[in-house]
Order: sequence, then structure tokens, then C-alpha cells
Amino acid sequence: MARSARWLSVLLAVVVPLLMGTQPAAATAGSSLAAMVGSPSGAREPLTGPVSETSQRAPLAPARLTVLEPLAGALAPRQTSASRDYDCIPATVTGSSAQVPTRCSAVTAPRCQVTAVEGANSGLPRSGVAANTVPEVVGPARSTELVLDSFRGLGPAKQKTVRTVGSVDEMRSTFEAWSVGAERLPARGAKVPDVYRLPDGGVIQWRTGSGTGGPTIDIFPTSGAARTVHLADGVPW
Amino acid sequence: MVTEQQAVDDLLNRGLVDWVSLHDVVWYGTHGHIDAASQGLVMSVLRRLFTDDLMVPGDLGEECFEDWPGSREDWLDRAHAQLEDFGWAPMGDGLWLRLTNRGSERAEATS
Repeated sequence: MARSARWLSVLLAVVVPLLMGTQPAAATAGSSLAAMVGSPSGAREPLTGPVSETSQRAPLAPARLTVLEPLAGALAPRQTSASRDYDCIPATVTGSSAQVPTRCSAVTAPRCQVTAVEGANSGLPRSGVAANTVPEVVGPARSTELVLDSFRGLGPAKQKTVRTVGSVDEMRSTFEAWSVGAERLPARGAKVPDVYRLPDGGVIQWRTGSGTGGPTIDIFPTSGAARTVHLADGVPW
Repeated sequence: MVTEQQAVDDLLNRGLVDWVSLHDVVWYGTHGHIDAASQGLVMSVLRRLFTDDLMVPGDLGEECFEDWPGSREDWLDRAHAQLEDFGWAPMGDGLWLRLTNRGSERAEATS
């Protein structure tokens, strides 16, 4: 009889709070029961998996975006505000039609830190209208090898140390993707206004003119011949 | 081991598509192995380019390529001073080379 009464009290302790819209004592102790977490809209949404105490105590704070930029040659995190509206595009891109991640939510930011220049193709639009819509690229500085991987994915040229792009806008977008997070060096005269040193010592620079005309990107690896990006034949500048 | 002729040909070939950086002068003369011998080869390559009237050194001016003034010996002295200043790793800094007409003809013939 006493045993039945104990079971009844336990049952009441679990069922009654559920019927009244509160949580049973066992759930607040950190069990794997479905958790209820506050959302920005104020609605309660279930999450699966183990629940931490923190997530039960307070609604999630607004997401923040961490952008990595080098400071005095080192990579250091910088906090910038961002809304949760931005989604992260998958980090590894292999096709020429792939897009460049713009900004990522705090949840997915780590996946975005290897971005557009991974693999044989840069992930940047190769030419045309899409080249004008390449958004701001964020993330840590690229290594020279990563930049050279991207370089090899550009259009062909007569020499293997040269690649081509289809417009000045595309060239500029490419340069900005390569130089993001790199250490800016002083300009080398009016003809070479933008110079960046990559973390491994390689240098990339924007030249406003070249021996065959038009702007140019130079890549100077620490070991190897310079690589050059030119406009494709017949492209006006 | 890089030969003087090979380095000259490589630099002339590079000159067909653009001005040639001091970085490339060092690379094609040393292939990354920088010692007294390869440094000497780089200077002999530059001397050959200048004395054979194949390439002219200069700076990237605001409007155009600005040839260095002075004699060929002046050019060599100035180029050597830049190489020493940059520790033989100019990384895009320093002089540039442009092809002369003669250099273009030679490059076209050998490419």
C-alpha cells in the first residue's frame, strides 16, 4: 500500500506540472528531454539533444559575427555586429558557378572561414553580370598557395605564369577576395596603389597599368616566378 | 644550375606579355638558390640585357614606364644597390624591365 502511494506521488509530480504548462523537476535537472528555448519572436521552439543549463535560463543572445583580420602580422578576431538574417554558404566550393560567402551567423561562422579560393576554382563568378554582384568577402587571410590555386582556375593565357579575366570588375573582385585579411603595405607609387602581404610572406599587388595595357594583379610567391592576371584579349579597360 | 642564356631567354619571353619585375630577374637567375654564384649570375644577366640593348630598366611612373637615366654601368650599380637593399627578395618592389625593339625581336624569335 505504501509502495503504491509512493508511485502515485511520483506520477503526480510529473504529470500535474505538464498539464499546468510548467516543467517537471526531472527536466530542469538537465535530462535529455526535449528542451524549450526562447526565440527572437518570443515563441518557444523545441530543440533536440541534450540541453545545457544556460539555454534554459535565458533566451539566446543576438548572434554576432566574428571576422578574422591580421593585426601586425597575426590573425586576431574582431567582433562586428550582424543580424541573424545572413546564412552561410557551404565553405568548400568547387564549381565555377559557386558563390562567395558573405557574412555568416555566429552558429555557422567557423565553416565559412575557408572560403572562396579553396580548390582549383576561385568560386568567384568568372565574368558577366555575376561578376558585378560579388559581395564583400570576409574571413582569414589566404596563403599564397591558396591564392595560386585560385589563380590557376582563371582564364588561360599565352604563358603559364599569366591568367586572364573577362572584365575589370571581375579582376577587382578577384583581387579583393585574395587580399582579404592580408597585411596592407604602403603603395608603390601611383601605378601600384594596393599592395598586400599574405601571412606566409607572399605579396599580391594591384597595378593600374601593364606593358600590354589595362590593370593587372601581380602575385609574388616567396619561392617562384611572379604570376600575373591580365584582362582577356579584346576587353576594354 | 641556371645558365645565363636560359635566364636571358626566360626574361625576354616574360617581357612579351608585360614589364618584368626585379623579383623575376632574381627568380629566373637563381631559381630560389641564392648564393654568391647565383647572385653573380643575376648581375651578368642584367649586364647582358643592358649591353645587348635587349631590355631597359625603369620605374612605373604615374603615366607610363619611366626609363632610368644614366649609363648602363649606372643602371647596373643602381640595380645591385636595390637587390642588396631588398636582401635579394624584392617581392615586387624595385626596378622593372621593358623590352626594347631589339629585345622584342629576339624574344619573338626564341619563343
